[in-house]
Amino acid sequence: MDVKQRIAEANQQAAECLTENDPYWVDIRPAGECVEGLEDHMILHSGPPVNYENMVMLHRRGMVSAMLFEGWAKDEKEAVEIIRSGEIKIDSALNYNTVGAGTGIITKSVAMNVIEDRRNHTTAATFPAEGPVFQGGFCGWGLYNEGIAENLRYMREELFPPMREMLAKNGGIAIKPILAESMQMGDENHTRQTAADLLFDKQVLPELFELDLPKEQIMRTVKYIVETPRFFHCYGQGASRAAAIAADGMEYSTMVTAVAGNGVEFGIKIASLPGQWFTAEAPMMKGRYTSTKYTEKDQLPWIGDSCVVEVAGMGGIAAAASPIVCNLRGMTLQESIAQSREMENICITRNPNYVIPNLDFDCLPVGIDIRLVLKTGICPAIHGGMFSYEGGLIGAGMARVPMECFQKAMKAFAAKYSDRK
Amino acid sequence: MDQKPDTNAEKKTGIYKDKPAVANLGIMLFYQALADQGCKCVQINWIPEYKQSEEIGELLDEFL
Amino acid sequence: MKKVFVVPNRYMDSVTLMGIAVRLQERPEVHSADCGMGTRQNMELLREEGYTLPEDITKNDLMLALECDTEEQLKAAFDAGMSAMMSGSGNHERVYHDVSELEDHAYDVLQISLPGKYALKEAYKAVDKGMDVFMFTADVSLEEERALKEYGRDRGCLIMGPDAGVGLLGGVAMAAGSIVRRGPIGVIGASGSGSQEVACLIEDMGSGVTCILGTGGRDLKKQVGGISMKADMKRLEDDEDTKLICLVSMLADREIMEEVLCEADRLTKPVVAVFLGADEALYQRHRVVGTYNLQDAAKACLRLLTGAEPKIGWSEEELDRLAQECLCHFIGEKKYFRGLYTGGTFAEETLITFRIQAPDTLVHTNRDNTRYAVRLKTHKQSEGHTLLDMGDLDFTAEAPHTVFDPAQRLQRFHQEQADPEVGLIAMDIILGPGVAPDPASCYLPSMKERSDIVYVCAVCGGEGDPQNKALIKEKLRQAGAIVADSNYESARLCARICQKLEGK
Repeated sequence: MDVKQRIAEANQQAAECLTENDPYWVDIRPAGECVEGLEDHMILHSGPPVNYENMVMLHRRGMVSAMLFEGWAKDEKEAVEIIRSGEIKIDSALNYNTVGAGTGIITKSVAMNVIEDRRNHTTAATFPAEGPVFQGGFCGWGLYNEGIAENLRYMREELFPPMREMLAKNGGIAIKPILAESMQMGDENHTRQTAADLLFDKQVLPELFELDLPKEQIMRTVKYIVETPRFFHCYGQGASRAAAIAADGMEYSTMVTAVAGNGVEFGIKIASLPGQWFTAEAPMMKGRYTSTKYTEKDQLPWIGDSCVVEVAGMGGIAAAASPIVCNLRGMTLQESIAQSREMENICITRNPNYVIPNLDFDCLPVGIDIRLVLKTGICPAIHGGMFSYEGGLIGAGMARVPMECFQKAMKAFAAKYSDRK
Repeated sequence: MDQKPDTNAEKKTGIYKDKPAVANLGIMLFYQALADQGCKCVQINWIPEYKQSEEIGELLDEFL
Repeated sequence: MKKVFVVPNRYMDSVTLMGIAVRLQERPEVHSADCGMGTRQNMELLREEGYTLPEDITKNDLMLALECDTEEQLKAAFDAGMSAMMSGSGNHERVYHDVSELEDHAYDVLQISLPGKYALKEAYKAVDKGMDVFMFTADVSLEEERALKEYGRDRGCLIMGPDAGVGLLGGVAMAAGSIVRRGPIGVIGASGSGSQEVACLIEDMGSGVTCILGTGGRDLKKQVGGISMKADMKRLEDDEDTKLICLVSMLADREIMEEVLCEADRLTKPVVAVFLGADEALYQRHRVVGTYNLQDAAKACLRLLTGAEPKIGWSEEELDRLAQECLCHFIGEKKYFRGLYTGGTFAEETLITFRIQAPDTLVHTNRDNTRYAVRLKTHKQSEGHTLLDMGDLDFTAEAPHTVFDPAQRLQRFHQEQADPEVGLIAMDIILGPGVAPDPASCYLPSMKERSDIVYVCAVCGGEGDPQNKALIKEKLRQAGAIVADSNYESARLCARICQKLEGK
């Protein structure tokens, strides 16, 4: 079998990890118990690896927040000293079976949603939404203060126990049917998961009410679920991550398994070269700001791992499913459809689970192939939220993964697999 | 050149007697006009070939 | 036999599933089909219908319950159902990204309107596949055009263009062309609207065409050498349905026109030619029937075919009387003619007609070729009598070509109406499946409102064009416009009016 055939077969299998996946939300556990390799005195962050000195302010702030939260330092000054002394291990969340949206700050004691993929036999941990008041808070924006600390405790000790009890009873909530149905209801599951939230609520709320617990306690959890915007976002990310992990290490596959930014650099990983990042300067997203007082000057280049959903064929790939999200950027319905059609040119196959009315009931493309990106010059379109330098969401938009990432990945692939050495 | 088994086989010497099958490359409006006239037609979904470096071009030849 | 196929972990919308079930039931060998997710209710329903269900179905699994006579039929129906789920609305055609992806012999013609630097490469791929090429694209150099045409000629492929706006092959209109009735005349045209007009007039006068072969606007330049026109003539000589050939062009390189006419001499079929702007000397030593305007070319074709004199246009008396009537509108400051043309050939033909029939009238134009007129200082502002070619780069750089979108000419129309010295406005209306679906309505309201101005229009189109030629002519008349039988008649009338304005 020649190398091209091997690659084609490997890519088919890698893409099947994404399309045949079977993710379930099964538990909520401390990160140290469900993220393999996450030890004491270790902090994970979003995007490709970056050291403390080179981090953007949001990440550095997040490092300090993590130290304070875990009690590894008593104040900011001490936190920075300890970090600089090298005592703290700092790494990319996407080098582990987890994913970090926004700043993606994860340490061993935070409670994480556990997503178990029963077809791929993988598990991914994903940070739960921090409630209607703090929203991004600790993990998303790298913030830490009394209010956030109290909120984290509150979630851990008050809100999550009923959910855990429900999960123990029902054996887990299936994520994929929710994603599939929501994709036909106007969600692309990156910037918008309104339908997914409602489908989740419809399933989960009755089960919560059936628990033998005081009504007030159940209601606190219910309110947390229904009042938190974009509640379902982390489940889509977790499901995508668990599927992508399954493709890691697939020899000969040129499929992209990770896409993420840290405000400085943007990086991708590919299935056949696990552990290796291929980076370029992080792009600026283009879109709409939540207020006219914001301009690009206020904006941070891409930061966050949430584009794990694009790896799995949602978000920017699924633009046709969500013209409303595209309309934020002034795009018409036809242009939204054209964006998904454009993505067809760089993907390995179609995902039979996502049948999209706006595409004339074609299935969405899935599985980004670096070779096709290089051949066509079409870079994957990623949807997401725009962050300000100060922290906080200031808008939503789209960016393209830089071509340089794919060029580097291709060269590394050739270094490993080329006969002509 | 193979002989086509229909009336348009004469085209090498004569001119089309029946509606030709037309592939359209470019303006969508022209494709629509062909479709409206009921002839067999297709819009080629064309993307300009991206000019990569020679090195990348060679790698694509090897692996794609 | 009944069987339930289970597709684990595959969600599908219930309405979609119903649609698939309906499609499956249309297959003759399928007695019944039911598709649904593995919910308790659906499973109950299937059990009630006599299906045996596997034990471990969950609500996230898909069930296809089928009843056929044999195992093979069940399997085939299941495969068809799965295929239907993946393939969208069923109309999903294979998507091609490239000419080379087209299957051999699947398509006869490649119609290209990409930018020049890409168009050439694709055209060569088409010729390699034995396809004919219709190239609307214009930004190709003369050397490149020649090379492509030689390549095509050597492989027996028609190269129509670059810069071909009009074509008719097997009754199908290319690009901005019209659908014209089939008949025995083969039209070969260098420029767009010229060949379109000749063909449409042929239809108006009761006959039809085998084809309109567009050679592109630069075929008769020295560097290209008329390769396409010569090759096209050979094709039509060999075409049993073509009884007469008509060549249409603007004036071009003298030597090349000579060569073309010599080629025509060697044919057995009658040839009519119109090279707009030519003098008698051009046609003298050749057997072609030489004509000097598009209408006469069409008339000559009919005359040769039928032996009878075709009826079209105004007689000399009718023309004079009509012009005299129009003169009554020229009161007060009114003294100028403004011609707004979509078709470059129509602009040229009108200029030539003015030169011959209204020699005392000084006409200004934006066209480069100012043999017959004076160049305007700027295309944005008319001076005196002005004739505009709205298809010229000046205009098309700023807005879509008027033939596709009337907006730009509408704006200019209003500008001319607002000028108190304007008494006469002429326009051409071009029809076809590939051009503006409603090219005339926008002018009607202000035409009616400003009935103090004389409007002369000519509609170039075929009966088969979607815009309904007869209706457009009727609406123009109702709005008070004079609808001429052809561009030449329109030019004749305007020239006569202008002559009378000079007191002649």
